[in-house]
Amino acid sequence: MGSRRFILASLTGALALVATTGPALAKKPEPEPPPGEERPLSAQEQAASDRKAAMAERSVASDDASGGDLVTLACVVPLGAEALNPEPATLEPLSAAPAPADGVDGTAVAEETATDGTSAGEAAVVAAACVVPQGFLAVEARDQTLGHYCGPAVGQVIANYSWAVPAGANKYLQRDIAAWMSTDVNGGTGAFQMEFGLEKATANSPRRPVNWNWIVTDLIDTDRDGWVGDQLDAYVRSNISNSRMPLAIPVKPHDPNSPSGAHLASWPQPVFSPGHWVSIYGWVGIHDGSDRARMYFTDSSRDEGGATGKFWTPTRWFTLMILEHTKRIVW
Amino acid sequence: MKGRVVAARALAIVALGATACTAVAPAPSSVVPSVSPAESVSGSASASPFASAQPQPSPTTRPGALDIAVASLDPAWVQPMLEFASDGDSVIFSSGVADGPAGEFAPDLWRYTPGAERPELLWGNPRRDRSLVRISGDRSLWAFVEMPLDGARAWDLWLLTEPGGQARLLDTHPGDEDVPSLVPSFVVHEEQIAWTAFDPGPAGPVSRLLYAAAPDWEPRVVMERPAREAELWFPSLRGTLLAYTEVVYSADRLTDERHVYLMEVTDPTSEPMRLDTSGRATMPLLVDGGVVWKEADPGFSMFNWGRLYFYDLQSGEVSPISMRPQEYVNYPSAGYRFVAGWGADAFTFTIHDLELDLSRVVTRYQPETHQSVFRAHVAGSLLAWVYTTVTDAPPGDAPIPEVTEIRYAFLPSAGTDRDR
Repeated sequence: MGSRRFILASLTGALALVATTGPALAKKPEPEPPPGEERPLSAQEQAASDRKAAMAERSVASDDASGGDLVTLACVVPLGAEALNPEPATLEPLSAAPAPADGVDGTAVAEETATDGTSAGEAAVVAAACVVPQGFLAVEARDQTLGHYCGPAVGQVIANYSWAVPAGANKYLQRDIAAWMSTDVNGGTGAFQMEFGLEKATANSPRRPVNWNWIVTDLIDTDRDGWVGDQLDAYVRSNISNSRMPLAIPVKPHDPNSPSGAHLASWPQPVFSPGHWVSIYGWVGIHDGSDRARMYFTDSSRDEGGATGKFWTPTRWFTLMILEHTKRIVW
Repeated sequence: MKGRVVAARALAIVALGATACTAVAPAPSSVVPSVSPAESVSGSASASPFASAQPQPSPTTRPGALDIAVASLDPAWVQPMLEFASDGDSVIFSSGVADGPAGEFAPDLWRYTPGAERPELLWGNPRRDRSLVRISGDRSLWAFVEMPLDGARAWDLWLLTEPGGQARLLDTHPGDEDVPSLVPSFVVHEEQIAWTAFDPGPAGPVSRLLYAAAPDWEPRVVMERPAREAELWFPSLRGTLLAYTEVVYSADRLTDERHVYLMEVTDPTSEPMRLDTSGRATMPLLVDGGVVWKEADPGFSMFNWGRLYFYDLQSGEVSPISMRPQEYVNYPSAGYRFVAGWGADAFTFTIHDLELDLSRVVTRYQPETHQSVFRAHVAGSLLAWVYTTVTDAPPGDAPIPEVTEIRYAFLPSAGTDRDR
């Protein structure tokens, strides 16, 4: 159960993954990826990924064009406390001072803000009534049962949701999911093994959309606007709000040498990790380059260096963590 | 009844603390002229995101603006760096810079005292493959958790009472497979330290709250809980008052309640007094006249972002603390007058002014500038944070050079900067 064993085993597993990358390599040899890295998508996988990504981007573009990205009338009409949305959807209070004009160029500025008291309370009521665009799925977090079972734990969370099992129940045991994901064989779970395991764990489940396929997608700047966060934002929003399925995300949870310093809130202390899987089940706000948009995730890592439960983190930071790891998602 | 007694003592002690604290001017301990860059952030105007290289004028200072001079540590002094904090006098940080800039570990404890020519090595670690993953200081007392980063169930909690001195090992993880490996949360304050740790117990692992004080620094177990049922976290000390969090789990561990308690740490008969009613209070901080804590939204882990609240020791009332326009923070810290935290919105840097009961904006950046602030920490009047320009641009396609550095500033002391 020790994480040290997990790391050593995972390194071995990563090498094994490289050595057993499947039929595509057998037919047409390609350069092997460096140890610890996953193989690239095959042409067929890439095409499937491109189709799904394009659909997601069209979908959210359509939502945005139809005003789906706008707040509701309640946002500008103060309502009573009974009208408040229970979801933690509040972003910036309406009465909060906007960024001063002299800060637009990025200059550090100092200013005073509104005080607390009555006006702040009223602002909170108004702000909480602003139901910003958002979407959530009813998932429950699960502890991973072994140090290297973060992948199967994510599979269990997603399977439980997809099968609509009652609270506290599990559709499959993690060891069964681990077998589908080859987690014990490889000492960890690669993206393609995650995809395969999710196919098995959600097959014929009531919440799985018709014609659904789990896909591995490399997170790249498809629209060449210089940012990747908007791609992740589109994939998550489309997957959750349209397909109503969670996503499986691999990250370095708290890399001590992370260039950005970004880490999961669920991992309070740094650790050299070969990677960690979490499940994104919700989103709030639309990523515009700021930190207002958030992604909600479950973590399974209690006593494996992190914590188990529900968390959120700004979309931009999630993007950074993905970019600093395998740069891909499973959805 | 017992609770009221504790509250009365608490009020008296905190009031004494306030007098003592606010009388202390945050003067640099060195007279060496500063060689680190500085700027004023009070209305300074510069188009460059790297304006910290030169002092900036303050031509547009508005009444009540937070007028502070910001400086930064030369990255060559600190990289590779892991943790940093303010100890009230200095910026302390764990770093492997002694082994060169390309190392993976941060085994040593350093401090940079504003005005000094360069950082000072506080504690050199003979184990170069370890890192200090959590550090804390209070002027001339420091504590740190040292551990390998390979995921092994091993950590050591050390106490250092003089620069370059012999560190004292206070606690260590037993290495048992069933004992949770989360590192201690701890606080040092004047001549005392309090910490939490998981240890083996007669009927399974236990969560402990421990305390030690000068001159003998002998650890004493303040309280203990079966780890399966409850956990003790996040101690805060002020005078002889100790605040902490107790997390109580449901039988299936799917839900929990978190409460903040207050007690007299030097009185063995002291009955802890619960301060919150929400069941979501965590990360308490003893400040003048009360206790600040964080509450994550319902259903979320205590390690998640949350909002801050203030418990008034005199009235017993709980009120929200504004960090607006920053809404959510994590790992709050408190100095004489201000409360800081790691804001979820890294483009907005605010602190809370306890004296004026206001949110004060230190810095706001527009996302297009790629400048962010995170991990703010305050002790005494010294505020420290990370400034970075890292972006979510495609790999190798960053629009501007990536800069990451520690910045710091002394904040206004009590009774000043009140013209609002």
